[in-house]
Amino acid sequence: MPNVRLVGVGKKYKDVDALHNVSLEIRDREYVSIIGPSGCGKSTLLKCIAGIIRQDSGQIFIGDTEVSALPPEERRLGYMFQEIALFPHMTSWDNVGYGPRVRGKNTELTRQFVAQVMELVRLKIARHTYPDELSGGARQKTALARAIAAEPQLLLLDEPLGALDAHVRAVLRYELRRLVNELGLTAIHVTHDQEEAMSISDRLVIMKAGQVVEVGTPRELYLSPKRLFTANFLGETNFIPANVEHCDQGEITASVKGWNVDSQGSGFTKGQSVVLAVRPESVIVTPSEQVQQQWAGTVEECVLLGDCVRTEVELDNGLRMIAQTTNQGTERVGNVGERVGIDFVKGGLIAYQIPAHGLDVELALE
Amino acid sequence: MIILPSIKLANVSRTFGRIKAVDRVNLGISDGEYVCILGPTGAGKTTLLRLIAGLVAPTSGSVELGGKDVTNVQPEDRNASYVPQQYALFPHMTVRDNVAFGPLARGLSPEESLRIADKMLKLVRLAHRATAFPHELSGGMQQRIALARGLAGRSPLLLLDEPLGAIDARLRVILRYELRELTKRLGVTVVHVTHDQQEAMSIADRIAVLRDGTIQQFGRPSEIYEAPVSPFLANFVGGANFLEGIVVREAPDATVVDVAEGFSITSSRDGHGMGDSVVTSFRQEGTQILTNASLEENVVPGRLVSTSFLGSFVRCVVNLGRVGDVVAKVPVREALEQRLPERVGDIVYSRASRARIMIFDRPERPLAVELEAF
Repeated sequence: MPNVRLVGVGKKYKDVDALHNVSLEIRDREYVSIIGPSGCGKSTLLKCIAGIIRQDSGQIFIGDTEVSALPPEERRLGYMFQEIALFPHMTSWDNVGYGPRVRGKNTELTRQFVAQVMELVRLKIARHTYPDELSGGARQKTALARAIAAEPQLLLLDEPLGALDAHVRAVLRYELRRLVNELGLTAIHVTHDQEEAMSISDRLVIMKAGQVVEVGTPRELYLSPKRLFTANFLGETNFIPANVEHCDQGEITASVKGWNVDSQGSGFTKGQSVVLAVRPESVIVTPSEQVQQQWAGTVEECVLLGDCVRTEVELDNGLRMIAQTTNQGTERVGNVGERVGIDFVKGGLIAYQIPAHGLDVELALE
Repeated sequence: MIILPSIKLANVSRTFGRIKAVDRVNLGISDGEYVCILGPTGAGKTTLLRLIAGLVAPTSGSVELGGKDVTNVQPEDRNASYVPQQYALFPHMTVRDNVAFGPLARGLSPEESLRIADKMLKLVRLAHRATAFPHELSGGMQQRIALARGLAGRSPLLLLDEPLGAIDARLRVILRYELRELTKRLGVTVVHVTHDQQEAMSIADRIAVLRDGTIQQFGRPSEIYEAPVSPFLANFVGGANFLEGIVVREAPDATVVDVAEGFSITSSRDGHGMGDSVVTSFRQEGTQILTNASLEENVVPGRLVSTSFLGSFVRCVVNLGRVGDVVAKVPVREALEQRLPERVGDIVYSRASRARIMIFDRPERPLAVELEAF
């Protein structure tokens, strides 16, 4: 069974830890995405699992077999790179049939098999078409078909949609997930795109500077991350420096430049400095005639992003707050210069300890 | 020659062999405006930008900058700064020298050139890395240096080809707001090529959507999003649900379209007559999921096929039987309150209000081909 287990995997380039003591367990038939800013070690980790890069320390198991020292071809996996490496002088069908032929399938069996795989990836192209005659999306599907034609149990995907337009990416990711489900594969997918990762993964592995920061389901990590880095990396977040005024069983009241607000949080003491994190969609903008609460300010910017409207409010206490509301297709609150109030969705604020290395270092994306 | 940075393209075409990369484009961009050229790969976006820069000559038509015809003017005399997608920083030069290169080459003194470089680096928030070499910096930082180099040219017109293309998704979102603020502060006119619709929406005063070398629509982001001129536009910018049908009733604020036997959709938009073949369309975030409902207008039962977590939204796919699938983006807290992820397989109701149903003429080619952006 292709579960994957990493135990204390490390890799150094010169003096830099590309991977530092990474331990991870991926279950059979699980779809896991590894995400993090560029240079965090996510591709190196995938290449170690593939056997393309040999780790300096630690062990890697695929199923019950330790593969730490095995060459890539003995690991029974399919691998798809960001840079699509199709053979340019072969037709797309021959590209997909290459693996099966090399493994000894005869011409007729290969043809039938390729037809099946092409159907699986829903690629309808003529048999004599060469890769350079295809659109980016079709080339990507051909590369995926070739990876699948190797009949792997474990599929390793390194930015498999990276070369595509945003619009096409967002369509193909669901097809990719459907395919992996249908074939009953275990998949490990490396991407820099958090929405892509969240939308199709059972679990996410968040990495930073060669280390695993946090592992969890998209929902857990988005709604209640343990680390401030995760909160920031998985989408926009407002971070508010505050002081604990009162704490009681998982709830605190914090003071923010003289204004009070309730937040989730436990293990804090009165007077302690904390950071409150709140997602823009948990910030509610209310029209000025309803501004009774302290949390009032002026709209600095209001932009329609499509499915939502992003509003930046300069609060009277000097804080800047980003709110995001679903596009209702109607008149919206918050034109630039307008006075508005701010409220928070219940449970939308989470309090964190101030990181020992400072907030900026914790949040840094590069 | 002093050039005010307004742009006018009149009937501009450019062919490469048999391919029409840009086809009879008319476009007027005002002084100080930020315009995004948005379109799928191969739409002709880069060619259009290079036509403005003067790096490609039009096969026909004319290019005006600041009211002067520059069709036959060399790129270096157009007073425009072009930052290509593959920005080539000099690897053996420091960041500061890279940025100072342009002013130096224009004949400014080394002191003045470095002063300009430092100022531009400060603007892109990389002053602290002035003495680093390009390879020591992340892709995002390198892209900002390329931008600083473009700005150091001090030209009033900035032409940017996928300026955020090499940057990770999360950082892209941060930098796009910085890019807009920066260029507005400097008062420059910007033409910015991108394939990312949300980037274009968030940053542009106006967006020109390009497909197959022609401009499909040119307008403010809200116009493009709320009133797209074709199913392709609705799909490419923002995504939407599409159902084909025939207009069966027409009243001042209610056009009724039959999309299947016993299944009709009512829209408050008019402009179509009885018997017309049309495509109805509604936004994913304008589609609600109800766990129980009475069968009122535009409420349709279906089976919840899947949910996926997008962060601020949960994407729900509902199968309406023969009619196909409808996608709804439900705000995350609502979706969790309704326990939608746990209801996969259940019957649910999807609903869209009549004010949010768009109606298009049925395109000549099949709908799937019309929507294609591959």
